[in-house]
Amino acid sequence: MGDIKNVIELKSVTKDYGDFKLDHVDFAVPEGCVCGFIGQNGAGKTTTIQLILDAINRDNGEIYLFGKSIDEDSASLREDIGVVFDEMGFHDFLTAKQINIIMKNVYKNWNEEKYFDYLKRFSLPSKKACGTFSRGMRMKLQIAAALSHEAKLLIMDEPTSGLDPIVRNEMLQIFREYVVEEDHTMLLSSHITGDLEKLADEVIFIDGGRIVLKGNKDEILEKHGVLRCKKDELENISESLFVSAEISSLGAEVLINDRKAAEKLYPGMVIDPAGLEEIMIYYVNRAKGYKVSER
Amino acid sequence: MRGLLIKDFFCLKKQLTNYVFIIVGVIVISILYVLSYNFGNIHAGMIEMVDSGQGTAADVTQLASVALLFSMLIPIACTGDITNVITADENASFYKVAAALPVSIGKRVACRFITGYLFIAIGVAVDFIMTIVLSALTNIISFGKFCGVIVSFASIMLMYVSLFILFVYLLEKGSNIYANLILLLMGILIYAVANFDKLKAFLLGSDDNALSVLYNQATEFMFHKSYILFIAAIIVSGGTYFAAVYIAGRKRGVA
Repeated sequence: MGDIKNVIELKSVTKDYGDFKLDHVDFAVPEGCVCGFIGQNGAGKTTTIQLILDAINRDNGEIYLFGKSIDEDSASLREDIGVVFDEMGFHDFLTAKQINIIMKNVYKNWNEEKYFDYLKRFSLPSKKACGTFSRGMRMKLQIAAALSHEAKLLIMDEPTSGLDPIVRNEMLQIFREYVVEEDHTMLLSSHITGDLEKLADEVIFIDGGRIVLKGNKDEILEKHGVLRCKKDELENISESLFVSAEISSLGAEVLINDRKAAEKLYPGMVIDPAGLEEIMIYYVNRAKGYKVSER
Repeated sequence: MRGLLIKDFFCLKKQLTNYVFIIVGVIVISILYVLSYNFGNIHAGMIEMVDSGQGTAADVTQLASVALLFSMLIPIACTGDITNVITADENASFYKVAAALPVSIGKRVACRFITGYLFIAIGVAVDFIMTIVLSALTNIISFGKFCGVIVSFASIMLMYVSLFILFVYLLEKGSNIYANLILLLMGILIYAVANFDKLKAFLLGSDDNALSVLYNQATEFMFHKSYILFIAAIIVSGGTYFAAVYIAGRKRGVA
C-alpha cells in the first residue's frame, strides 16, 4: 500500500485577531476522506477555512494543499477546490445561467454539462434571479457550482445549517456521491453533529481557536462513553479517563475517554455510548475550565 | 479573470436603464442644441449680443461652447458604475466567493481597474462620436479642441477611478461613499489651492471677471494641454494599481 497523501495539512497555524486567536492549529486531512470539522459558532472553523483558502493572512505556521505550500501559488491550487459557504455569495440578480457564464471563464475544467445536470437534478430554474431562491435552493446552487469543475477537494462551511431535514438529507446524499470517487476529499465544517456522524470518516473538534480533539470518527465514538454515577462517586473516577462531568439532582454524568478501561474499572456503573454532540459539549466544557459543571 | 469581468458587466446590466437614459438624454440635448445654434434662440441671442456690442463673435462662441461641456456627463456617469459594481459585490458578500476562485489577488485587483477603465472607455467612445457630429454641424468648437476636452475629462476620470479603487482597498468594507467623498473633497481642495486668489476675488465680489477668467483658464488648459492630464492619469493609474495590490495582499478578504 502506498503512502497516504494529505490533501490538507496545517502545521502550527496561528492567526491573532486580538479578541480571538486561532492558536497553533495542527491537523491533516488524508486523500479520499470525509473530515468533519466540528465546533460551536465562533470556535474558529470559518477562520481556519479562510486560512486554508489563503483568503486571509496567517501570523504563523504552514499550510499545504495537495502537498504544496499555499505560499507557492494558492490561486492555481484553488482550481481543484470546490467551496460552499453558509451564505450564497452570488449577487441576487444573477441567474444560474449567468453564473455558468462567469464560472466557465474562471475555471479551466468547468463542466457546463455537469452544471446544468445538477441544476436539473436540484430542480433549479436557470433563468430566474437567484435572489428569489429559498435558502435550500441557494445552497444547492452553490453545490452545483462547487461540483462542476472537477474539484478534488470540497470545502464546506456550515452548508446544512438552517436547512430543513429533507433538504439536509438530500444534500448529504450528494456529498456521499461525491466521495465515492477515491481521490475526492471533503472538509465539512458544521455544528450539526448528526450530519457529521452520518458522513465523516475523521473528525476534528475545535473550540476557542484550539483543536481539542481529532481522529477517526468511529474510534472516537468507540472510545468515548458517558458514565452515569452518583455525585459522591465522582471522585473515584480515574483522572486519566475523566474528560469532564455534568452534575444534576439526579446524579452525575461523566464523559470518559476509554470506555473499555472504564467498564473494567467500574463494573457496577452504567456506561452508555457517547454521540459526537455529547463529546463536543464535554470537551468544550473542559476547554473552558469546567471539569465539573452543573446542569 | 475574464469571468470576473463578465460578472462586473452583469452587475452593470442592472444599471442599464440609467445608463441608456443618460446617453439618450445627452444626445437629445445635443441635437436640440445644434438646432438652436443654427436656427433657434442661441442663434438669435448670438446675433443680438454682437449687434448690441455686448460681445465679440469670439466671446459669443466661447459662451456657447460651455453648453457642450454637458456631454462630459457621460464619462462622469460611467465613473459611477464602478462604485455600483463594488457596492453590489459587497452586498452579496462576493469577496468570499472571489477568494475561493483560482484567481490571484493581483488579477482580482487588475480586474477592478480594467472594469473601471472599460466603463470610462464606453463613455469616451460615445462622447467621441458626439464630438465628430457636433463639430461637423456647428462652428463653436473645433474637433481638435473638443478632443482635448474629452482627453482631459477622461484623464480626470481615470485618476478618480484609480484612486477610488485604491481607497476601497484601503478603507473598511462598505466605505465606498466615504471614498467618493474623500476624492471629491481632495479634488475641490487642490483646485481651490491652485486658484485661491481668483476664487477669493469671485467669492468676495472684488473681481467681476474672476469666474470668466477661471473658466477661460480651464478651457484653454483642456484645449491645448490635455496631454499633461493624460500623462498624470497614466502615472496615477500605475501607482495606484501597485499600491492596491500591495494593500489587498496585506488585507486579504477584500473583493
